[in-house]
Amino acid sequence: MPFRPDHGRGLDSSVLLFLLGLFLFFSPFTFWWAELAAVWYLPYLLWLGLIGLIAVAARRERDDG
Amino acid sequence: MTAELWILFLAGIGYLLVLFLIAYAAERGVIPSAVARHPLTYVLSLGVYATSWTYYGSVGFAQTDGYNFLTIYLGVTLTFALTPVLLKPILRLTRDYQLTSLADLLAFRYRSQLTGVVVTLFMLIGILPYISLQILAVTASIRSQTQAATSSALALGFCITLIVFAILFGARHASAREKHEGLVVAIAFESAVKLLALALVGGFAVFGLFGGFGGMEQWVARTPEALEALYAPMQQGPWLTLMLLAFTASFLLPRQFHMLFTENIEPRTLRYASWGFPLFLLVLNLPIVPVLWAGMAFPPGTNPDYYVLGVTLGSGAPWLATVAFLGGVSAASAMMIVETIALAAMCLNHLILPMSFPARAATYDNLYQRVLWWRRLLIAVIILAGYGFYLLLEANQGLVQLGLISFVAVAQFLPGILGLLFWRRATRVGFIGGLLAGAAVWSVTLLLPLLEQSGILGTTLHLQSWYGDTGTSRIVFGTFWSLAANSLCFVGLSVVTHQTAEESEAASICSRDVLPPRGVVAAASPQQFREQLARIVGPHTAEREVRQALADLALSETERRPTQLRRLRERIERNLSGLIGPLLARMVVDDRLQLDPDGKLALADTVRFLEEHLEESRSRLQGLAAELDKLRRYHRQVLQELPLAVCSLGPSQEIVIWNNAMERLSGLAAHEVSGVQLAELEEPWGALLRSFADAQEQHLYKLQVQIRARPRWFNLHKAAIEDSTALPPAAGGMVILIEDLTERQTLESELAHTARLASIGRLAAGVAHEIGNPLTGIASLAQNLRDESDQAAIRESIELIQQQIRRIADIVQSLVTFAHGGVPSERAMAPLGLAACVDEAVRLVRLSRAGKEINFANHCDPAIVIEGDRSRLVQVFVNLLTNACDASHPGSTVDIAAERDDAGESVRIVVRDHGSGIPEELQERVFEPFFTTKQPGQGTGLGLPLVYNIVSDHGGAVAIESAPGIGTSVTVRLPLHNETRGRGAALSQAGAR
Repeated sequence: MPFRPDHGRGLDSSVLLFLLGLFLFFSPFTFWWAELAAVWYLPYLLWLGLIGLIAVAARRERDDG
Repeated sequence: MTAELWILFLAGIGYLLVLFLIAYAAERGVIPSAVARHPLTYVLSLGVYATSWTYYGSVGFAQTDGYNFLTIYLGVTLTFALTPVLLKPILRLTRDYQLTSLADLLAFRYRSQLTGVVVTLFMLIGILPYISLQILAVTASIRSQTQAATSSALALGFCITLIVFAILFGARHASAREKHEGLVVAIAFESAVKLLALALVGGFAVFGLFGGFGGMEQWVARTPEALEALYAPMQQGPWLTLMLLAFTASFLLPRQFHMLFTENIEPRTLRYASWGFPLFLLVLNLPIVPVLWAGMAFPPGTNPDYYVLGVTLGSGAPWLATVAFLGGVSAASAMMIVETIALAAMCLNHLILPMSFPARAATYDNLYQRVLWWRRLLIAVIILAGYGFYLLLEANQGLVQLGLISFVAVAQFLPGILGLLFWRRATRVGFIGGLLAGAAVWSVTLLLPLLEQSGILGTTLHLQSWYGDTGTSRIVFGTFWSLAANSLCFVGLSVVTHQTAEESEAASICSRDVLPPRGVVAAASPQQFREQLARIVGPHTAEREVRQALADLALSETERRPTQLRRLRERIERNLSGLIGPLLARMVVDDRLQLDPDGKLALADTVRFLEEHLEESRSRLQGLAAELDKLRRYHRQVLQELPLAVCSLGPSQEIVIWNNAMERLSGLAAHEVSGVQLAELEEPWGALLRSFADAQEQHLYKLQVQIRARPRWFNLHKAAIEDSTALPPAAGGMVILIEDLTERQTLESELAHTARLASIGRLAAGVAHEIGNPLTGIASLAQNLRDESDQAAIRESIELIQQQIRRIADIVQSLVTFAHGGVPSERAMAPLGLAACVDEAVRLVRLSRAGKEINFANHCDPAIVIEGDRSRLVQVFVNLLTNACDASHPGSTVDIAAERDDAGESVRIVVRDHGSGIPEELQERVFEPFFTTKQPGQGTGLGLPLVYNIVSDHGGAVAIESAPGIGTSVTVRLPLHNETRGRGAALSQAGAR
């Protein structure tokens, strides 16, 4: 009988990514990188990194069915 | 440089015509459906989020508030990061229950017409500034490019074009189950156009004005305050507020809700959108900073809100300015079209239809047409209302301020949505109270000041001292206090009030709790469903909805099972919800398809319901629940695969379990009989199981049942199942086990037959021996007496005696032959030609008087060689042909044919006559010794038993088929000779080819 493993991964990873998003864009860390004002495209880089992680999580969710 | 007004006008009209063509091509199938279903199309269609606010206003926003402008898109990213938690459950609800708008969803959860009305009215008021913003942006962009005053007629023309488009491609289907592929593809195209246009403008700013990224970096190095101006506002600005507003707006704005959920063609595409849509927004926003800096470095003389247009005016390439303008038109038109369609659906379901139901709906000839016309009218009214609002507003209102005011309005639905998804205790009173409180604060802090600034209202409120005088700080102030009032009222009132039963049921559905169905439908057939529904929605709609629901569930018109009728009712409610909204749909089915509260729903229904929900929830089960689910599956599998037929019954004798063995035994599939009462079960099973269930006995042995005109033998066992949850424990039904004994019974009969034949053979041998000796003496004496007597009378009598003696001798000989038939002689076994064997038998039969009057046709292939005792096999055919002669009419034909079997192991010989035939009830007895269908004195009843014995001795088999009045076929199967077997198979295959 084909038993499948349990999945709570999709939910867990999405909440973790949400928290990571809050950390990147609404936390003292946000004000730290804003103070640096290093390059104009820094917020875009952080944003792209977060999107990449969301894509990986979505792919894993698909693989898990 | 300025652009000519007529060029922009023609370009705008041309662009909208292209949009029409794309939508038309998609609706007609010229653009394949796969394109509309593609994840990329879905992602691009969500780009309707980016309106002229993004397209034009982001640059102005960045100029005043730096990187705060990004919060409007970062908030969206956070929403989409929560896709499995937030968006997927809403998509499931909207698809399962055909909910077409946010008002539908909230009214479905908080179960009241008032909820729908309040949500719709507030959404209308909240979104009108946003629609007027789009018109404002288009007219301002034209003014910015042409430096000419734009007339309100131009704005009106733009609005009328959008009304036509929205009606043609957004209101084609009355029901939400039909998706608008043309609309989806057209909106995706609009997103692609604005992305491309903004990328071109950004590219021109970097490479055309700065001379490349290096040039831009040098400018930034010379103007460090430009970079600081981007980052500095993050420290003091409304960062959190804007992110929260964007988080909410990304899925609760009517247009976002419409494209995300209502027009979602393939649910799987949502997973791609979780990262694809934020990526789209990132790419769309990349050019904003370069365009802003280009505007600062080379001031185009326009408001920063329109730098996107301004910087292109100095490009020397009029086409670039036109493309930039078209990007703005596409951003504004997409928003207005989708927003209006979504608002029209809300107004229809919660404002218009409730006024006409139920009294007038039944009088409509065609409810679908009526709904469509209402929707079209509402689309026109809403766009024109937006136009009216645009006329009232002062043209100098900031794009971002207008958009944010609508965002704060939409944010008022956030507590209700969170309650819908995560808080079962939330009540209707709490939701409406919270929404009204939030709306009141929003009106006072944001809407009234807007109207005051536009000169519509006199200055009556002086709130600036509370929140400062900048527009953004007013947004922060309004957001905080409106949401605070909303949330406090929502939670407080929910805690102190109680849910109705309906609300509680809806809360369970929204939180995916398992809630078994209760009650049975009073209507007893699909036809009665039609009759009942016709009284409230008219016969046309009733017919169409019942037919559609039957097709969705793969049920037939003859369906009578309470379980299935209950499912039919639910399906009709869901389908109607897509047409007239969830509340009216519920009202219709509650009114006309009433549930009998006293009717007990089949246990099978509950079992099926639980199993379906467990299957759906399988991936969500964790820990002990997951282990228990595994255990449940294991037990179920054991029951299903049990080699004994098992059937369990509910308290009212409805079938709950029907395992695989039971399916094989009865030929009835489990899904066909599940929930069926025993009294309605196909015969003979209904009568058999019902009588056994009602009987006192716990076991029945060797019960003979006629199934498809053949006898079968069963052992039946039953056990009562107590309902341990009831107090005191009550009968919960029973389980019945059926053992199929037919095969064993057949074997036993065969053995008994063989034993009887053997004993008769022994008896016959003894009798023949005992009679034969005195008979020989009598025959000799009679012959002597005949020789010695001269008197004719005496000689005649003696001849009669001799005749009778010969008859007795024949019988005795038959007995001897029969008795010795069971002892084959190894010596006599030899290869022999079947056709020759049959010919010999025919010659012998023709010697008799009956044989002379019959034609024999031997069709046997001379090449067929069998192995056996020639004389005994000739005897077999003589007996069969004699019987055939006796049964046939003079002049008729007896056919003898033979064919090899597929494996080439044996030959099948058929002797067929066209005579009187044998009655069915006698056919099974013809192989019994001394049984004959002939007249007394005509047969001994040993012919066929002898055939049976001889053929059995040769390792073959005999079978008989007969139809009275048509004829009889006796089939003899005999093994082929070893050496000819392979050749026989080869010949057989060659023949087949």
